[in-house]
Amino acid sequence: MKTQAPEKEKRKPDDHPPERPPKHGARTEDPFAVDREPRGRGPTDGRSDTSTRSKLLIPYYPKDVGDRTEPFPPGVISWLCEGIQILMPDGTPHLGKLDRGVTYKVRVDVSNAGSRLASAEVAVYWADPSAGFGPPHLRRKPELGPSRTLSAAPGTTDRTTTINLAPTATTPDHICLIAVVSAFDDSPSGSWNPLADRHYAQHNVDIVHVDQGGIGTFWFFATNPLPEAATLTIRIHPTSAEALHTLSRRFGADWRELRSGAVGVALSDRGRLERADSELEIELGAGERRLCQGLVSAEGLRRGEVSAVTVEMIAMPARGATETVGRGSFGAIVFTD
Amino acid sequence: MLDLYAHFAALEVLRVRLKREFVSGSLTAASAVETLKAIESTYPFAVLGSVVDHLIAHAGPSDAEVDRLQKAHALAVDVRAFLNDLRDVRTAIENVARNPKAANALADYNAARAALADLYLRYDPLVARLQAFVWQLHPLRHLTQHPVSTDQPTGAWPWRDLFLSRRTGAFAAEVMKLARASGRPEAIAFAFGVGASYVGNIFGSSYLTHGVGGPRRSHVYRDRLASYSVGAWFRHGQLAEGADFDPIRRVPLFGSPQNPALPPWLTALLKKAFSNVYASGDLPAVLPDVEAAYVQLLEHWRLLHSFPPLAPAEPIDDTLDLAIVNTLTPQDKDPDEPTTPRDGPEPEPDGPERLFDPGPGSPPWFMEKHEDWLDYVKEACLDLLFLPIFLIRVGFWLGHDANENEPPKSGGLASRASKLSTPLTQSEFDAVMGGKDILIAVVWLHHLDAGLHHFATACLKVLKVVGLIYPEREDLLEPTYRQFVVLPPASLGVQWPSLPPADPALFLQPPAGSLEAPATSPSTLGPGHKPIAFLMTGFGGSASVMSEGFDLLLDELRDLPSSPLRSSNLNLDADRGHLAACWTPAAGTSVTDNPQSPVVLSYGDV
Repeated sequence: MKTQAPEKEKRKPDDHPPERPPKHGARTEDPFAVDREPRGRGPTDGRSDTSTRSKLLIPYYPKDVGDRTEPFPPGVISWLCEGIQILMPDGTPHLGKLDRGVTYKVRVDVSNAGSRLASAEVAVYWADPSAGFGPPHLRRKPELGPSRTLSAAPGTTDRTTTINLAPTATTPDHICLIAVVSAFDDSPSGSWNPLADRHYAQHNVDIVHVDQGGIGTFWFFATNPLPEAATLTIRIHPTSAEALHTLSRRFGADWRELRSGAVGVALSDRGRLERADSELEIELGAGERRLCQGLVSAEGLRRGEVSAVTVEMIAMPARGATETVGRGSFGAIVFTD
Repeated sequence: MLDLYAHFAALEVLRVRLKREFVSGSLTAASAVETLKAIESTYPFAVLGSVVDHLIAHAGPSDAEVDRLQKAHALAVDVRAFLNDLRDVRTAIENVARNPKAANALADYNAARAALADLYLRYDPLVARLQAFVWQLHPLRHLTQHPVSTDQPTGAWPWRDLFLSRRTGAFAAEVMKLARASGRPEAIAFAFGVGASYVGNIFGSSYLTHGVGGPRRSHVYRDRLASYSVGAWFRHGQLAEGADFDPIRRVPLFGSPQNPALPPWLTALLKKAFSNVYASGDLPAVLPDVEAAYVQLLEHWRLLHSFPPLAPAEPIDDTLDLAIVNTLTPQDKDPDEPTTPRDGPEPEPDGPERLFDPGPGSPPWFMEKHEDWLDYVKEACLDLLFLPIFLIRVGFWLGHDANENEPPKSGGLASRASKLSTPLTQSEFDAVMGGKDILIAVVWLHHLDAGLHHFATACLKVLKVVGLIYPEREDLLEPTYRQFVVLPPASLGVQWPSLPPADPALFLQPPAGSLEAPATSPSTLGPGHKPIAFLMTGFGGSASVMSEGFDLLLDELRDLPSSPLRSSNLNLDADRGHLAACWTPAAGTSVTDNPQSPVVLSYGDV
């Protein structure tokens, strides 16, 4: 168990943040201020695709080059992308419940691990807390501002201008953000799957406050992201120690991993809660969703400690095709009060 | 030979250094003080002097280049107009789609369809002109190689190459002498600029040739790419921040804007300098026509700055975008899409290409796959294949016959244009607006807009890689340009001086052929050094314009006989390395011999 100071500023995947180009060798006594270093080395730290196109991604971690064929490295949280930041009006990073009347700012990091300059377009949508995204459940106005464009140079990470996020009276307390980056020659797959497609990223988290030794609950939708009927498998498990370490740095709190038996998930059908288990399976039509409840026991957690629960969803087409699966994840961060 | 912006930077540095020496009291010679005052009061003349090599280059060999640029510019204007007109159509369609019940919605919609039909008719002729232009470019002929590379006698050389390779110091000293004799501050400022040009070329060309892998005479297009990349690096920097003057970074215009002309005294001064310096030897039959060259230089400058980057496509209107993402499936937008979305992006190449991936931690100097400049043309051509498909799809979804279920996969634009220009009836319009068609049309309009932007950008890229226009700041991060603004590490195995490539079209990659002998060293600079290193001390180089370059001019500024300009002529292409003197192949030998037999010319030799 370790504690570290909270990370006041997001660490860029580059030693030289693009907004402040380095002044290599500039000397204060010199009459010239040198500011002509092309923006810093990028997400690849010199590595780049050998193809001649752009390769856009929303980075989940420093030096992310967008390889989504393998699981994220240990410590990287699939439901909490570092490349999406929600800021308070004063610029303080925000995580958790949204207050009405406050206009938050959202900004998105975009990396280009390819070898071509790209005119990148970044769109941000919100949805109810969900394991899995897809139409027709994507929302934007009036809460979120419009898309942004930026020029993504190869080997660099840049950041969009901020997008307003202003919750209204009808906006849920917790919403998920999903960001999509695209360019003419580098378009997303249409899968809305941040786990498999580098063009997508999500900020998909609930904060649960639990009394010491008590039980907390959280709600989310299991959403079929496929345009056809599918069997969804929902699994819930304690978040790994490596990921908790990442979270503890963010919150400046001690972390503790939950017991495997301390979490459960259940369908909530018209208010009637079914028995909670670590896994459930449901059949859903194209774009259909079902409300689920997650349960977490804070047994063993001490006051002030942080832990988390990860929900994973896999959607297999009901017709039996196996080459195309939908995936999603959702997280709940647990604090003991 | 440096580009214009690097010359401006060298002049600014030398001006600051001169002022600093004056303020500190270490430079008190009357002639130097007079020069400083002249520069400060008539700086535009110093700026023109600093690009005197470009002025002379426009007395001949740059004509083909300017001609290509003029043709490219005419095309760029039309491509831009096409894109802007398409964007007007897109705006109109999105407005109608957002509010189809508006009173004028049908009329606006039909007008937009008609405007799109007009674009259908303009597309093929525009593409034909673009293709004709590329055929004019290929094979590349717009840059003139140094005639020494083919052993031509100096009498057949253009004045540019004579100026850069013969009696170089003597010319700078002569201009200074004549300027002082005239007593004109403008002339003295101009002469200082000529000195800055001399020094800038000496130190800058060694940086250029280092990145190029060989001298300009062997790598003319690669040298141009390097020169414009370095120029773009200086152009987008803030070199003179903190200096006590407002730098001028353009070719100054003298005379009326409609009829620019060099001041008569300057024309006379230049002619006299040429006739005095190049008085004997095997020389061109006539002196350079500096008046015509100046007009051509201004035209070239104008053209160089007539290709601004195009704004990317605007995102789809917010309301429509949300309707699209929640309504359309990938196969709605494109019937050829698989029925289920792909699980993730295209698989990454895992074949032989991976063998050449330098992997994490490797320096970013490795090259793209592009070796041949025509690869960039091919890339633009790929866009040309897709754009008509996009155009037809947009038109289809904006209103199609009931018996057509999906867009035609082939067919000419002209035949579709007449159908598109036929106004829809209210009921037809309502049918389009009431279903998915209008949303699909909006998606394809966005694709078309982005595709045209991509195509136009690809066309500009062709002009950049063949050295007709400058790269932009963002371009410098691409390996094609970056290799010239961050000197390569030894691990890349770039050797110097490389012989000309067997295939002249393969100039984007570092030359990999045999080496010229005797071996020389390109510069005092090292891996990772950026252009600032040749300009100022403290950025990696052991010699720079600001220190050793200024020292080279110092005695000339003091009007002392010991001025190095009065005793040596350095090759302004750094043809055989840093501080190499003007040279010629020994009698009876050829520059193409390997090893060569270079003989350093005496001060008075041409």
